Amino acid sequence: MALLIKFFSIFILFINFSSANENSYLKDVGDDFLSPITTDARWILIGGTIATGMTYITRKDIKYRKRDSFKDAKPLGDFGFIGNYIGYGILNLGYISTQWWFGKKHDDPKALKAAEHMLRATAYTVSVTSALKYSIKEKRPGFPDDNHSFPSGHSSASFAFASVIALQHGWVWGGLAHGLASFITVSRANDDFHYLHDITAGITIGASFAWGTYYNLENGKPYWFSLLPIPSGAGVALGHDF
Amino acid sequence: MKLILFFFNLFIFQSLAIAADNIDISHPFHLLPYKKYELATKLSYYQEEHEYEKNKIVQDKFVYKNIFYKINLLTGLPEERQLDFSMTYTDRGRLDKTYHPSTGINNQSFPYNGFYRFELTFQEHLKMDNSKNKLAVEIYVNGSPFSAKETNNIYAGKDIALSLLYSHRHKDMRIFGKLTSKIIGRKKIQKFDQEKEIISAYALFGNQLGVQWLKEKYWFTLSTHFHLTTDYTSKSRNYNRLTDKGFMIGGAGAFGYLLKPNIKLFIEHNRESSHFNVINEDVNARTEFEIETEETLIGAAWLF
Repeated sequence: MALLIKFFSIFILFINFSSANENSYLKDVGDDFLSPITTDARWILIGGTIATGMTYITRKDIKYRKRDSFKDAKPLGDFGFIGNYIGYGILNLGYISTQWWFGKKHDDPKALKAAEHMLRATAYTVSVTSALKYSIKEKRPGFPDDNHSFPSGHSSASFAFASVIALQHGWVWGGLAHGLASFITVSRANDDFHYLHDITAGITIGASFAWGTYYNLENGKPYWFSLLPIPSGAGVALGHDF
Repeated sequence: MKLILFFFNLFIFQSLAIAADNIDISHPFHLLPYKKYELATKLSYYQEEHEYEKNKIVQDKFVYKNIFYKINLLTGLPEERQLDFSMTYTDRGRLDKTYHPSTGINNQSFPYNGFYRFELTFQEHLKMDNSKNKLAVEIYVNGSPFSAKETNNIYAGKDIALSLLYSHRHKDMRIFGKLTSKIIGRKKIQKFDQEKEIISAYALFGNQLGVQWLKEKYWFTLSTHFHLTTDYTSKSRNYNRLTDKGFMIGGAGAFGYLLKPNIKLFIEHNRESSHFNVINEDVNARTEFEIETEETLIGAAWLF
């Protein structure tokens, strides 16, 4: 808890510092961190927080199991490991890489925009998820020696991925992506890595940042990735004003 | 006699109905304009089975079978909101409880009937840029002010749910869904032998996804749902069932027919299976604890 207080104190100082300069790159980072509150993504944050509270308050004081669940209580059976592996951010990094490469190769600003959206959403999601994991230190249901249960990183990263896909490519691809994210999320409860409130909190964080950064980019926030004309064609630059 | 009364009501209310404009009555969560109403009656056959199995031997099994009569009134409110109130009554119910001889408990069987529960649903529909899309937020509460006993099977406890409803129409198809977070309240039931069973509150979170095929006068609906649950615990003098997680999976199929623009008839069949992870048994005991429900219903609704 002390670490959490320190983290948020530093964060608030950072936001105040970055907002002092109108054109500051740091201001964009601060705006994106606050986007789940300052944009319409707040409704996802509010709804998800209520859902997390509802799933948490009914939790009993049951001691940790440190053993497998009965097979009948595992909706994915022995296939939960698939969600465990692909939910480590492979989808997010794969998308960023392929969209960035495609955008550079074919001079496609739309692809670069999509890559940047995924990068932003994933970066902020992972930052907040990690900060909460290391400050709250909740023990995992089936593995109480590990105290990084809340919130679920797999759920937050996969739903950040799914939300960006839906926003950038429509709800057909978005629906499939959400299906995949749901599989990854359910696998965490299936294999006793997380409680239900860890999962709902992770979903809330990932979706909030994906939608929040989307609203910021659509409302004219400057991009980090841009195309640069060069004699032999085009290049990609990462830049900021100073 | 009650069945005859039910169909007599269908005929009477048909003559009272007044056409309502531009309301897609086939939509699973259609919005009523302000001061418009929808009255619906439903008759269903319902079965619920609780089974506890250890090493493939059924330790106990409770089977509930009954008829449900349900009436609900949907009211359009200002600013794209609506309220739905319903009451359900149980008839011709029978509870059969069978136990494995090793438990030392005698089998029991007895009838039940009476008032079942109230339900109240509030919806707020959000304005969308595209008329093919619909989005709504729903708050749902249910319960009964009366004491629950095995001999009346009144719904014990009070539940509350927060849901996000969404749908998209594409030509003659509609995809719809419902993302739900729900708390199933604490239940206290007086058993046949006067002993009390207490089921602690637990929560569930999950999604329903469905598709409709729409024709001019009728439609087919298929849907499935999946929810993860928190710990379900049940305590009584005879047994303690402690679980720390579970899941629910189910599906439904329905057929609807538009008798008139403001009157629809429908038939529906739905099933659900819940599985909970028992933690007060030895890990080698191969324990299964499940609750299965099945319901077949027919109904009618009138807009006026």
